[in-house]
Amino acid sequence: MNWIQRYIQAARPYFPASQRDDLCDELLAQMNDQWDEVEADPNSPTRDAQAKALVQSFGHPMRYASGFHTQQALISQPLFEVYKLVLRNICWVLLGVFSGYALLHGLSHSEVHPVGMVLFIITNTVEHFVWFFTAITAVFYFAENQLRKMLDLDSWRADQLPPLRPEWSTCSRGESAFNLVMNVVFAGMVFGWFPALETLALEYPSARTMQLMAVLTPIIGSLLISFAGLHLYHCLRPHWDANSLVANLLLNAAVIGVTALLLTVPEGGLPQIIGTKPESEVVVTVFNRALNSILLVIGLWSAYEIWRDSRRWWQLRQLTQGG
Amino acid sequence: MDTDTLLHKMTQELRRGSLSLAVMLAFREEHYAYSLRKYLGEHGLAVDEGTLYPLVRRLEKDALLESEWRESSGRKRRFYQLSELGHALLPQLEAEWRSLADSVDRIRNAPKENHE
Repeated sequence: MNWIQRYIQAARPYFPASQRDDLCDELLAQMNDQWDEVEADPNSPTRDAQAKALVQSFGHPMRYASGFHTQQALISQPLFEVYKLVLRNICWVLLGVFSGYALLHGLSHSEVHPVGMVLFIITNTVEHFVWFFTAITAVFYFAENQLRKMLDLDSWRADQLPPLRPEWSTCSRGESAFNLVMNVVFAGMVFGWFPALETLALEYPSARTMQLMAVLTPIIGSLLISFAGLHLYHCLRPHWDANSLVANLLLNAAVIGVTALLLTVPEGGLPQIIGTKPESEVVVTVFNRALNSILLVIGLWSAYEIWRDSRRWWQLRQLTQGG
Repeated sequence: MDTDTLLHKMTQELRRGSLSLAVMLAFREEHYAYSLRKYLGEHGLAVDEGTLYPLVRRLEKDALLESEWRESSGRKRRFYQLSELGHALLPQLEAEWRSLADSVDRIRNAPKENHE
């Protein structure tokens, strides 16, 4: 016949800590009041069954107590949509990255175990997904108030609406989430959060390249994180505005600087794959050449973005001035 | 989703907004938690405990209600009633409710028009 006490004890840990004693006292008073009434009913079955039915009517203790919490979700709408987009992308990007790792490993090693490679892809994808999941959840959880403030979610006014803008100013949130994830993953590679390059038989062509890369690592990593920040901004506000255009211009200028510096290294600025299999020699040579060309492609793409964004910034400025 | 579940969901949505007003109206006089539930039940509004008591606490947190622990009939109970702010807002909420109910009625009784 201690159903009421049992229920309160079960619900107690789920109440908000600051009001726990008060809520338990009140719940006890409510249940006792109801119990007085049930007891007075002459048609009721045994006392034990009555008490059991009474606590049953309050529902699961956790569900009952959860109603007293103000925040019902870890990440609330509308930020939850962005959070979901980022998580979905990270899963596929990690799978792609580790498949690439497995491919490189296959090219550079004489002994290849397909089952081992599949296990390598699966375990590394899952492990890194868990880390990224934790980090991304923490960022969204702790930065929620700031993000809401940035979006003016709680104090929005119609006069904050920008003038009508050209079609190009709208970004795809899915694309921004993908770019955000790509930049975070590459930053992870640059900062060494991923399996070491030696396991893939990747080596720097000279000691000088290695030294240069050691100096550039924090710069490249910071650039990637900054790009990720810009894409997060576009996930939340899927429009190019003057601020994001200027940020993109500056970041691309920095990218051109870094790539130009790496292109001046005669041996090549990126690590090269070392092939141990004679049959894959041609593929390895082509791959290494392609790897060196990537720097040129990145530099050219950044130059194109600078040209494009300068024009866009000018266009937006005229629109803002005009109306 | 079957029709029963859908009906339940829609009914819950419909009641959610109205319940706050009903509770505030009930608190024009003093109640403790269980007496409130009985009072609402007697007036045809049966509400389960898991919905009602968190709502009462939320209204108190928003300063619409005030409460005190007191002994009554040999038992300690927490008594709630409308605060000054609650008394000030209630007439406006009532007016809003009447206007909403009138609008729904007008829409329900309006003759069908062909918009094609």
